[in-house]
Amino acid sequence: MTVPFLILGLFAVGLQIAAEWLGARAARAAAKVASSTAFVAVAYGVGALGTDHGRWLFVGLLLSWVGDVALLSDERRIFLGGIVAFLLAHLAYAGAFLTLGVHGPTVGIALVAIAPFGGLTMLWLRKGAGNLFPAVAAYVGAIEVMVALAYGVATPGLRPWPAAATLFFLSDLAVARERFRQSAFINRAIGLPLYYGAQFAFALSAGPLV
Amino acid sequence: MPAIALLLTGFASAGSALVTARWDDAGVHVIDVVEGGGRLRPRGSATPPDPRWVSAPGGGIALRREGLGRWRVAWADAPSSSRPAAALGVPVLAPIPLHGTGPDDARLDLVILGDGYQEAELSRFSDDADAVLTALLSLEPWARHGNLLNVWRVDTASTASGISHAEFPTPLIRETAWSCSYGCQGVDRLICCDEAGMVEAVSAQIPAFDAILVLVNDPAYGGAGGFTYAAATNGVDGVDIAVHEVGHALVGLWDEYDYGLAGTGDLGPNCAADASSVPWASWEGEVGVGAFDGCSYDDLVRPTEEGCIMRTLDGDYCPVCRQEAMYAIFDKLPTLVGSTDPPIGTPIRDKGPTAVSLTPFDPALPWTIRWQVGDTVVGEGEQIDLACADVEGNLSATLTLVSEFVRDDPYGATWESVGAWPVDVGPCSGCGCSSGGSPWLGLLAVVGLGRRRR
Repeated sequence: MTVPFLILGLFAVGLQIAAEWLGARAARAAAKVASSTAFVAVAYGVGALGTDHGRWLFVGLLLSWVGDVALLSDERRIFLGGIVAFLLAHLAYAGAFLTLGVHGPTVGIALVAIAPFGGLTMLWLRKGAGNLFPAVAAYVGAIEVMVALAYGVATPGLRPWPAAATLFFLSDLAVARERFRQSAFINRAIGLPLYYGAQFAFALSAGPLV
Repeated sequence: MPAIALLLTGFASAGSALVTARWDDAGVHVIDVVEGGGRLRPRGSATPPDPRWVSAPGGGIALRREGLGRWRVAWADAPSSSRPAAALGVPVLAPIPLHGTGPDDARLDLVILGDGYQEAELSRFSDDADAVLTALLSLEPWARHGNLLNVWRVDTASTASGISHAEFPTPLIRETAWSCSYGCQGVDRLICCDEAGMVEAVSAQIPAFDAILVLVNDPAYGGAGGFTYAAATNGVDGVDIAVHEVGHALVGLWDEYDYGLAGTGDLGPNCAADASSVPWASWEGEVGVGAFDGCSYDDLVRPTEEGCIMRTLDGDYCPVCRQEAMYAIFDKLPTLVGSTDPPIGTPIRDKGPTAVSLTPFDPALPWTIRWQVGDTVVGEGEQIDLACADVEGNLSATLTLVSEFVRDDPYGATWESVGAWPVDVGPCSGCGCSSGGSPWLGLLAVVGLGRRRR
């Protein structure tokens, strides 16, 4: 089940980008739902529900699915709901990393290293976000913590979480630019592969660590 | 109660089966397995292909009638005769192992009897048996997996030389050890013998035997292949006839030539009714494999047009028949597993060995071993180490023989699932920092770290 859903999901991401380029809203929505459903299915397929960290990642992926659907809407309240869903998803991912065990000093160093980027991001978005700024600021804080924890995971072996968390952070910058700075196809053309790359990496790493 | 002979395979463990049986004048005609347990393997609506005929009641077999023509068969272990053969008036045989590799309940066992050989001709019988064995072991899959075959020879002298000929205008009756005769069922070349007597005598010595081959000391062309015993002349083409007939008796294959009759509704493993839906579909595309008219009966189809030993005596096994032979060989093994470490059922925990290994019964053969926790595949190979795997559930392994002779195996003769080992292994960190347990404790640790830094 894992491989077919992975292929389906990546194909749907391609369709999504094409639909964005063509301005086909219905196709874009359908492709997004398909892509996001695929990463949830992949996580299930690799056995996410049979591992402690996998259950956290699975919850994060489900919340991301909700966020993806919500962000399809232009309705402000629904969009805000989407941000909350993604914020909770980041916390769930953070829970996964804490379950796996983190190296405190590494997390601290990562936080210190990431903080300037977070600060600059908030400054960059302050004007465009308007009264959504508090939510945006909370969101930026949450993703920073998630990324720092991903770098601090101390489980042996080469793991995808730091890279996936970084991709997620970068994809959010593309989303923020789209919504609060300048709407352009390039935001989606760059942001979607980064975002889905991160989500599929999280999904694939949700199973037993063998 | 009539002397029922039951065709059962797979006595590796206790089990039971509900069978229906219809009798005709010649004895049991058809046995259908209605509901089976253990590794009992019904084949179509007819008899299984690699039968072990077991006289019942007796031995390790319990038989209980459950209505008209319905019987409950139960076995506790590999059947064995608990009755001294002599007490039944059964000739006491002295089987001579010709090709032996293992216990009879864990190997496919072919017993070669001779009929119409006088005492002075037993050396010829020995040569005839050797010739058949050599021919059999030259064919795949017997050549490769001959180490899973036991072949026994039983020297039994007859009073007369040659066997009876019921087909003669004035039937010629000869007194022989197993009462074999040409002209069985009105067919000149068909040889029939004292099936019940042979089964009784052989099972007393080799309880888990699978098939009997009777070599008859008579130059007339002829043979027979049932699901219990086969017979073949020692005359011209006798060796090829014997190998063909063993295909019936040991593997359960049907003739791929055509008797010129309409079928009875039963199907063989190598004979199908519907050309568009044959059980050997996985072999279609292989050179020469398809669905060709005529397979024992007019209205059945066979897998290959020409060249299969079940059709022509100078042939080899076709891929479908070879696969059936593989089923027969491996189905007799009680298990495909040689050993596991730790033993099945041993809990796998953080504090203890987290590696599990499995060794096939014959490590020299190519195998794939796939490990799963629940439905999730967690690795392949003879060993898996679940250290730091953050996984909970039951670990199992599926062992599959890799063979070009087998494309699919719905019976599980060449694969086996093994387990389970209960697993509860957490993640682990290499640095002794916050690990496992409540993630909130870890979060507090991080927050605390941030406060100290401020």
